[in-house]
Amino acid sequence: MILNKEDSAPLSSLRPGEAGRILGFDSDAQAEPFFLRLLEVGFLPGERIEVLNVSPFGSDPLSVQVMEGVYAIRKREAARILVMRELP
Amino acid sequence: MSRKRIALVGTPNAGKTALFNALTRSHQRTANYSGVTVESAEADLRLPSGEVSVLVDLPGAYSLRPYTEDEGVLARALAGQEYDGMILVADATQPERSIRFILEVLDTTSIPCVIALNMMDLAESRGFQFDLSRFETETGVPIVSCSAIRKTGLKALTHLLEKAVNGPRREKHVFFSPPDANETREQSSRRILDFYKRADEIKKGVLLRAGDPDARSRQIDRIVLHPVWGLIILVAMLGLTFQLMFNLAQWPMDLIEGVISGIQSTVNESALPELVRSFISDGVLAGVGGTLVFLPQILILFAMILLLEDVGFMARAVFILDHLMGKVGLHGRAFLPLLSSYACAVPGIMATRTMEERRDRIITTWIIPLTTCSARLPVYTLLISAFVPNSEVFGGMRLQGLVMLGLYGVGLVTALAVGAILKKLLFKKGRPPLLIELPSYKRPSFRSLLKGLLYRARLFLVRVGTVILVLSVLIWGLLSFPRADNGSALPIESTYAGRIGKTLEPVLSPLGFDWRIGMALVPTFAAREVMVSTLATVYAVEGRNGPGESADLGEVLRKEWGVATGVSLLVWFIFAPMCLSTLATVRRELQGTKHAVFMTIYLFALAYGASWITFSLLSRWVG
Repeated sequence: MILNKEDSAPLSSLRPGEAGRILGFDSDAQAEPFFLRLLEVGFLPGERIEVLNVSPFGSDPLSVQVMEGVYAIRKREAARILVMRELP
Repeated sequence: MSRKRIALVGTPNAGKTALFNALTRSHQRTANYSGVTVESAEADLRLPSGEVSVLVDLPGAYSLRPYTEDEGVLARALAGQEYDGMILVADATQPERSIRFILEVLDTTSIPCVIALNMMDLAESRGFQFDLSRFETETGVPIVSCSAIRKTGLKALTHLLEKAVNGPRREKHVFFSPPDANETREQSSRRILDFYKRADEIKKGVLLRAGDPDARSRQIDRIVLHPVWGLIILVAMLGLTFQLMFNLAQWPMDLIEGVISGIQSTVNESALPELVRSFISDGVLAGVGGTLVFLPQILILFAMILLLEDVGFMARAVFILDHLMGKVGLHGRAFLPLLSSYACAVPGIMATRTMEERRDRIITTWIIPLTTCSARLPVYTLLISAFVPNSEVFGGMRLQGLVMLGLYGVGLVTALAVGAILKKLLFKKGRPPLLIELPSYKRPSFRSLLKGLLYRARLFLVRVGTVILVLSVLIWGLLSFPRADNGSALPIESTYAGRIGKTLEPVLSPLGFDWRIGMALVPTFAAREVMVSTLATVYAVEGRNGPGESADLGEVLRKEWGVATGVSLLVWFIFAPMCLSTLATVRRELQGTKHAVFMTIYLFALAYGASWITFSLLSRWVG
């Protein structure tokens, strides 16, 4: 998928209350079991994802609503999930 | 004929354990799988025909591609032939993810199966509507909607289960061809997407109306995860837990102690021969009673942990603490194991199994012995009452209470420091990633809570009844033999224990410990708290308080030892790895003697060093 740079943003750049659509993981992520696990719980391309809360300490991890569940992931990994930001 | 074995399989947070508790009555046992004991249980399940089968609560998993060690257990269990049937628990409030998991399981195993679409009450209240007959035609597997908490749909479930178990085995790979054994990651991810595509097709026919998002949980999270309120709630919960553990537990503990010492004095006054009386009273009752006394504290701590986990708070605690804990190399999930360890290190170490990365497990396991388990309390209480004046320090606080708090603090700070060092060694490339589900808040099920507690109480009692009993008797033997030729007791320094103490004395004297303390330290490897009863025996047996009399032990110790010795012994107890069950658990859980040995060495080194410094300094200042 070729993306226009302005359209895509890392998930970590979204603030609580903001949402987007998942475009995919960064290119190296495919090789890591963690990102397979993300796929399995529902972080699928095209799926809507919303940032709900950030942790009081260091704003890390963040909680996101994706598919039907709410998950906490760290900023480091969220930075490797590309999303298309939804207009507020 | 052997009983049929039924596997209970499901994703985490789908209410698997609640369903297990709703379906079974009692006779819960720990289940074992190929050498690993998983904290997971099995119990009798009565089928409608009256046949009794065994329901095995397998660990929850998000998929059959094992990511944690827990999940590996599930994948192996489903690949084998040991189960005659299976209940597949799915969360009705998460249809898409649940269907994908169901398809993956059905495709992997040929075990006859029935699907329990659990939490139907919650799903209905949020407006979900299903056409389950459609699901059955699509997959060929019977499905029942149920609610483990409200106990609806359970009869239909066991009915269909019995039918499935007595029917033929299913075909596997009805959806997709079997995966290649050395599938590349890319193939794996395509496979996951294929399953989701199929799940989506099925969902379109089955889900008549998608429910509303869980607005209530979102609202609660706005408070519980709030930068200020969230922290206040977390600290309050921790405070409440420890408060209950130490104050509420007091009266049942006094009761247990009273009953035990009542039996002891009855035995001592009876007409039994002296050796028999001593065996029952000082061997069996003193050892077992001294451990039994912790049951109330352990139960209160576990009740709080089970409750907080049941309502969904634990995952939030992990969320709040993850960043802070990362500074000392700990995974957010280490919170629960560490909290459990304040009751006992053994369940704490077992709880590390939910961590994905072995390195995370290692760090947490290595520092768990430094948390102050409740077995240290009686020793702390005794030594503090003997050597710390209960004078008032600033603002009405008592020095004894402060010292107690300080001992907890030193343990915790050391644990964090060790964590930080291990992080440097193990996590050169940064921490492994975190993924934790924040489940919907739920009303707790008190039946489930009670069952969980009874189960833990039983595990503890079995340990007291076996390991501790054997060790107490053994130690009593060391303290009572050999005897003089006419059968009467010899002075204590001539017993086996006394000889061990004398042998240890040269090593321990730099710490201010004489042979009696050395002798009393030997049985603490069985259980730390035995120190108190051994000291009582040592000083009573020596007859310094008159025959058979047990004067206030603290009083006696104050006369016998210097302050430097007392405090040095306190410090020793913060660090020393004196609990064989902990070391055995480490060995089993990390699957290597290496870890247990290194852990023993590092903890002994810490204990010896710290006690030596304490004693050297104090004996110079206080004399």
